[in-house]
Amino acid sequence: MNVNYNPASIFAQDVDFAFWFILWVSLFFLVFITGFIIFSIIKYNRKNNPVPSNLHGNTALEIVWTIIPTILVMLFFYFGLQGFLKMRNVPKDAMEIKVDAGMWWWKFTYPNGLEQNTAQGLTVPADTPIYLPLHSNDVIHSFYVPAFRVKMDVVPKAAGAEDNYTWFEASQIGDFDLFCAEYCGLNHAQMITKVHVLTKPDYQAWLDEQSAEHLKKQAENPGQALITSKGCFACHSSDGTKLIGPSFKGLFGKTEMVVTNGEEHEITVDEAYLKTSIMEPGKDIVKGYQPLMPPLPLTPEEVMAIIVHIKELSE
Amino acid sequence: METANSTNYLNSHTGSRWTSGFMSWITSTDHKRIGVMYGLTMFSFFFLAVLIGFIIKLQKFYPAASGWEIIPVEWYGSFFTLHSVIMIFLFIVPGAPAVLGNFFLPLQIGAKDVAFPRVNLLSYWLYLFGAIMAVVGILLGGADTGWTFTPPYSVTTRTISMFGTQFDSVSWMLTAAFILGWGTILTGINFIITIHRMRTKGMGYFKMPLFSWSIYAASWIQVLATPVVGISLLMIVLERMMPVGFFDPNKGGDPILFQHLFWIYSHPAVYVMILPSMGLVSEIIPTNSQKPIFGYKSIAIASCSIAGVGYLIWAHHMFASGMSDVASIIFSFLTFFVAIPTAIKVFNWIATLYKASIALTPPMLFALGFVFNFSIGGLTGMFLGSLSTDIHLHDTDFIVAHFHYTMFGGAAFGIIGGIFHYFPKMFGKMYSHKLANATFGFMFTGFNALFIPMFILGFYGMPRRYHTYPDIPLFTNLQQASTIGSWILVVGVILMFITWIHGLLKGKKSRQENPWNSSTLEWQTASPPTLYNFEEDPVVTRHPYDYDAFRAEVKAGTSKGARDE
Repeated sequence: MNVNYNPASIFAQDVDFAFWFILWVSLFFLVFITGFIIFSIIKYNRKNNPVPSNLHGNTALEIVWTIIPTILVMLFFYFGLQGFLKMRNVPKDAMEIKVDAGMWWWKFTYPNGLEQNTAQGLTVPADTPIYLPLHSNDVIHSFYVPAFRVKMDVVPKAAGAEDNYTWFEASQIGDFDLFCAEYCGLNHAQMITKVHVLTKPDYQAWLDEQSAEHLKKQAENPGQALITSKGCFACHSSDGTKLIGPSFKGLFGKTEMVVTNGEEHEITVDEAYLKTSIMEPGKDIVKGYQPLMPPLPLTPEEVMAIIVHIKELSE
Repeated sequence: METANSTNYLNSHTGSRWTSGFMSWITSTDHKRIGVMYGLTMFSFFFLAVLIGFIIKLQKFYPAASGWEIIPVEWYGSFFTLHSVIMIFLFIVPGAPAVLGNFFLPLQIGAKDVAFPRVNLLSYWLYLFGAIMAVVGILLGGADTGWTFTPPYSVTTRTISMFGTQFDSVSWMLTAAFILGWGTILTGINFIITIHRMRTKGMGYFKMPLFSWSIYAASWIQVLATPVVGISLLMIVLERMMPVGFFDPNKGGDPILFQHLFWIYSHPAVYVMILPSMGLVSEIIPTNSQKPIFGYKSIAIASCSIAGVGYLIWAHHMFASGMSDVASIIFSFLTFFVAIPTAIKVFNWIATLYKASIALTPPMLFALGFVFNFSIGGLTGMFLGSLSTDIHLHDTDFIVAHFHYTMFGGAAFGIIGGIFHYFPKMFGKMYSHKLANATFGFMFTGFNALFIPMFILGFYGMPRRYHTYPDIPLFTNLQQASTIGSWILVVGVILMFITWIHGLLKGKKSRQENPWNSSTLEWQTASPPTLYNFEEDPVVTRHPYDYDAFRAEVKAGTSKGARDE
């Protein structure tokens, strides 16, 4: 069984220590408060104590219960700060893996150019600091690995502004859930992938194999490589299954009813139509689908490569 | 007795020529009628939102792999948006001030009405108009941004509703929230001026009952913070209509700017929601203990310091947003300073029980339930103010459970307790205590069963706003426990309505002014109160919670206490 939430990174110890410290203090106060209420209900109910005192307050007592919480909350602040400082200071020797997020996919780019998508997940070596610049292609997402106690929003930034970042160092071998934690629309709950933590030698072997395969695929079929890496398959199937968008299978040459500016009309899927649909996805919407596709930053050559592959899938 | 009867506010009113029926209510400037109208409207919306919450919990009964789907994924966004927008903007923000504040603030300070009765009616109209606009807008347009309206998603989203209708639902909803904001600001100004100018003879600031103090603190937040959110929401509407680019990174804007603007209002706003309920609890506990509230002055000052510090801590909602680390550290540090006055209040409430003479009436049950739930809500807030734990727990079910403990287990329990407390005064009738106790039993049990599992889910990483969840046995078990809790809670809510309706229709008539034998001024009026509240302007000579002096007055016949009937 996959236990995805047990502590598995070097942050977990600090976070969990602060968590359990606050929890025990809180439980103490909750038990005290509840216990005192129940005790009073029994001891001082109207039957047992028909004549109440006329006590207005007690300054000494009030000073005590101002000072004690003040000391405790300062401890909470301090323990929280300790873990936070660690999370925000990336070791200099950390390995960089670029994270791209979009509706509703993840992409991980390795230093050698290898790309991994949502279906493949993020593969990392254990006991190695990994630095993750977080880039958003559309709205705000959030990179969250519960087992690592790591979370950072993936925020779209203006040109020139620095992307958000986070880092972690996995301390356990295994597969861990990676969630999108900021609501990003329809398939937010499907924007889930895995972090695969391998031993260092296993990771190196995996990397070599994947990189070779990646280069081969890119040379053989650039269109397919693009469709995979841009996450198109999250919404468009290649086997005729209806997902969020129309399937690529049999698409080219098909007659479709589309809605443009609220008016329905019939079109035949050709190169020009596909080009518009990729570059301006909100323009012609196939009837029965929602206008959800985000525009992607693609060069004209890349668009052509994709169209060529869609043609292949239609044959 | 006959004259008081014929002129009570249920039979006659001020403000318009209509003397009876629906129009005499909707055009009345009487603060008591306005309070009752707010109550009716708010609780109708509350019931709708509870049902939506019930369906949302049902959706989580089985994990994704089971194929279980009560709400299609296309509608899920608008379901939680409807739930949260109604609960926040239509129920808990107007909340206790709109219903009980309107009704009892003038009574507590010995005034004939609020300072500007017509403006008060205008507030209600704005509220009603904005509320209908928001609900219709989301239902027929399918807005799916949640109540936080976070751009760029809120700018780019285009939705089709569950009825197949389509229009710019998000702009509608935001405009509605803007209109609601006007109502809130006007109410705030009205209450502040009422408290400044209309206290009766002898009613010094430190002779005011604590509910009035809490309304005073909350009103200042309403007046000072609401304009900020109003403008920010309009900025989103502008972005949706034309290419302005405040929050659009492609035009050099910054989406994080919106989060700052939004939380500058919405963090203080949580104190607008909770402070008046704290005030109600501060009335209910001494009344049912028959002794002075412990540390009156420090509770009054704590209300104001919570309101003040509440302004300086908004960015603790943004530790994971990527804002500067220094800002995160400062906001975390400041956040803990709001915990201190809050803790003081809790200790003062339980210390009031010491050597008291406690009657476990239905309002007292809700008040003590409030103290328990709110303690959990406040203590779990510590995990979210602390930096490293917040990074882990932010945007998970933990935070959902935390704010439901403060807002439902806290604020809403306070309002409901307050209504049980003031029901005999408002309507001159007593509800069935058996039904009311059962209401509390179901609500308290259901509420805790619903939200305790969500703390654990959040700790194990269950993100919020998920339509479904991965097939992990621990997740499934906790989700199912939580869903079953929601069923018990819904039974409690339905019982609450039955208790109130039964009380109104069949409740035992009681003209006694002060059934709970409370020492504060509002209980000296007739039940229901007469048109101008007091036959003569009352003169205040003693501390509001001096029960020894109050008992002496009752003996001497100068004050009205509880009578056997």
